[in-house]
Amino acid sequence: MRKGNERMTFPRMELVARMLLGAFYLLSGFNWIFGYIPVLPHIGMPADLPIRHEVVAEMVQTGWMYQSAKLLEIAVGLSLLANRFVPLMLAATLPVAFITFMLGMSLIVGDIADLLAGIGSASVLLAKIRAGAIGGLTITLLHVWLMLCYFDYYRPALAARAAPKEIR
Amino acid sequence: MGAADTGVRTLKRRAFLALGYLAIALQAYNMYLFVGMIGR
Repeated sequence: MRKGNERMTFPRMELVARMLLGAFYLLSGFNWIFGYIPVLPHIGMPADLPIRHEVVAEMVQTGWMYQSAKLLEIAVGLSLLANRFVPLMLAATLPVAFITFMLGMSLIVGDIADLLAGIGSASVLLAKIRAGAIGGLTITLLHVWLMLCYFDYYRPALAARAAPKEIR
Repeated sequence: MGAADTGVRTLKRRAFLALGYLAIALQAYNMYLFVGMIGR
C-alpha cells in the first residue's frame, strides 16, 4: 500500500506544479491584453502608470519586446494546462522566467548585501521579497523544477559533439 | 548496484521531491498574492 502511494506522489506533484505554473503564466500573459490587474503594465494603461523597473518601461516602449514576452507567457500557459509540447515550451520560455527572476532580485540585492554586512534588517528584506521579488523567485524555481521532471527529453540535446544531418 | 548506490538514489529522489514541494508551496502563495491583485 505504501509503495503504491509513493508511486503516485510524483505524478500528482507534477500535475499540481504544471497547473499552478500554467495558470499563473496564462493570468500574467492575458493581463497584458485585458488589464484586470491595473497596477501591472497592460495595453490600455494610463501613460503615467508607475512601472517599478525602468527596463520594463523601456521594453514596453519598444512596442514588441515586452509584448512578445507576454505572448510567450500565454503560449507556455496554454501548453502547460493542455499538456502539449511541454518540454519544448518550458525550454523556450526559460529566458522569460530568468528575466522575471533577475528583475525581482534587482529589488533586493542591495538589502541582501546590507544584511550580510550587518547593517540591514531581515524584516525589511522579507517585506521587499513579499512586495515584489517573490514572483520571480517562485516562478523560476517551479519552472526549473518542472524542467527537471522532463529532463530525459533534454538529454539528447546535451551531446558535446553533435553530428548534423541533412533534411531529406 | 550496491547499498550505497541505492542510498544515494533515495537521497537524490528525496531532495528532488522536497524541492518540488517547496516550489509548489511558494508558487501557491505567489498565486494567492497575484490573484489578490486582480481589480486593485
